[in-house]
Order: sequence, then structure tokens, then C-alpha cells
Amino acid sequence: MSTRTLALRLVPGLQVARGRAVGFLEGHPELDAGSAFDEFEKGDERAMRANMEHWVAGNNQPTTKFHGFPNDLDHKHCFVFKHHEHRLYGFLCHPRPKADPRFQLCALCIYAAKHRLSTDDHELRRVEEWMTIEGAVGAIRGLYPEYRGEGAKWKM
Amino acid sequence: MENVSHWTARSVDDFAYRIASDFVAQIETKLENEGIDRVEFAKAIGVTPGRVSQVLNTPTLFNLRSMVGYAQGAGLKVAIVAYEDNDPKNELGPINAQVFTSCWQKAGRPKDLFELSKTVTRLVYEIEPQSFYRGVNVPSPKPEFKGTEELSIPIDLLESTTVAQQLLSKGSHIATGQDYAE
Repeated sequence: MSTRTLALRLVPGLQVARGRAVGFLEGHPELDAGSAFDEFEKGDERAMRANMEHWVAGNNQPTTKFHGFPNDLDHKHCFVFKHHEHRLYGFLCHPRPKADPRFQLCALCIYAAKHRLSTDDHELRRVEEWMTIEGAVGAIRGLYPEYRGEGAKWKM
Repeated sequence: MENVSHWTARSVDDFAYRIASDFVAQIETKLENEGIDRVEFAKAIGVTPGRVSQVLNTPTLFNLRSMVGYAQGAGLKVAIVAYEDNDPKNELGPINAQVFTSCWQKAGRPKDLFELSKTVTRLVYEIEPQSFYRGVNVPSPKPEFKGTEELSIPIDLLESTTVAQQLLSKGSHIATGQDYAE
């Protein structure tokens, strides 16, 4: 699959914060978080926006609205925003390692409608894969030129 | 980068949803931290668990009375805060409710403006440390904080580097949030 046309689209109209941002990784049929968000009904769309903004403001709770998977070593970079059955899965990264190493971006990748209690491991695996694909790294670099991929060391 | 107005500038309903959602997030965070499930919470506020889920999932169902009731059930109180942030057209969106709560907590939870006046320096320092210490050599290690007297300084003077320098040259220590860490 070609990943040369991937792009990162920051969620339009969302609050611009110093410490965090949320965007959609797009440009491949599997990367459907952005298109699903665009097609949400009004109530779901603003609920998801409110949840994103609560995280962007610096909050790490409640887990009913969003959460990471810090205790899951295989998916420790994954993150999910939730509203009713809607799930937007993505990964967290630090796209400004030199200028602002604490700055976090949540790059949303995959949409899923969840009707079960447990998180679908399949989505998380896919997200982890997308995180390391060079095209995705390049897409993030399009907006954040310092980004070299999660775990990459910045060379002075 | 594309310049788009904040989404809550679309309508009053959007703005109302956002701030109601902030309120729900504060309630849910408290319940999570206290380990209270929705059944227990519903019992505490005298409604069914289904109603709790319905309201928390649909913040626009709240009215002022139910907000107070839900907050009390979670061991919280509610304030309605109007503020001016130099954004009259709401191009930047609302300030997150937790910002106000955290500021109040960091100010020592003052009960009134008299108590607040004694703690105002650390707010100034924490919000804009660069402007406060601009051009001033902060002693290292910082002197031990000795009391509250040196905090009783009008806020406009605190922003003056000259005053800060004078205080430091006399051996005074300008309090920071660290001094009050709980």
C-alpha cells in the first residue's frame, strides 16, 4: 500500500493549546477516523470535540471520555476518544522534541463502533503499525518539521 | 495553517454544550478518583442509575438545580463564573473549567477576596514566571520561605522588576507555587 500521500489534519475549530493537539492521519482507506468524525451527527460531533478539548486543556481524566493504555506494553502509545459507541483510536507522540519536548500530539487513525466492554485489540495493533510507517511520520513532519518518529533521538 | 473560528462560536448551543461537558468531566473525574460507581452515585442523589447515565452522556439535560444536585452527590460544590478573556467574539473558545478550579486550589482555596489578597503573588508567579523574574537573578538555592508578610504586595507592583529586585536584594524571597506545594 502506498503511504506517500498521507497527511495530518488538525481537528478544525479546536482550541489551540500550548501543550497538546489532536489531528487526523489521513490519505489511506484504513485511516478513517477523520472521515468518520466529519460524518458524525451534530450531537456526536460536538461531544467528541468537547472530549478532545478537555484532553487538549491538560486533563487526563475522566477515562469515560478518553484514555491511553499505559499499562499495556504492546500498545503504550495508543489513545482513544470515546462517546457512546463511537471510538476514535490513535497514538500519542511528541512532534516537537527540540522546541517543546513535552508537547503531545494525538494522531487519530481509526474509527470503530464498539458494542463490547473490552477494547478491540485489533484496532490497537493497527494503530501501532501506523505509528511506525514512514509515510505517517512524514505526514506529521509536514506540520511539525522536527518530528522524526516516536523514540527517535534528536541529534544536535 | 488554516485559520478557523472555534467550534463553539457556531452557536450558543455549542458553547453551552462545551461548558456542560466540562462540568460532567469534573463530576466523572471525582467519581473515578473516589471509586464511586454510577449505581452508588445514583442512590446518593436519589435517581435511577439509568437517569445518571442518560444525564452524564447528554450534558445538555442539565439545569442549574440538577447541576447542584449532581455536584453535591459527588462531594463537590458549584460556582458559576463569568470572566473576560479579551475574546469577545469567542474565536478561541471557553476556558476549561478545571483551569478555574486549579487556580483556586493553588491560591490556597481562599474563601473570600481578603484571603486571596494574601496569596496573590504565587498566582502571578505561576502564570507568568518569565515576566516576574525578568532580569532578576534568583538566588540559588532559594532562601527558605519565612512567612506571609512579604506576600502583601499590590498586584500591579509585583509586575515591576524594580520592586522584585529590591525585595531580593533585601534578602526577601518571592514565594512560588513550590513553597506552597501540598
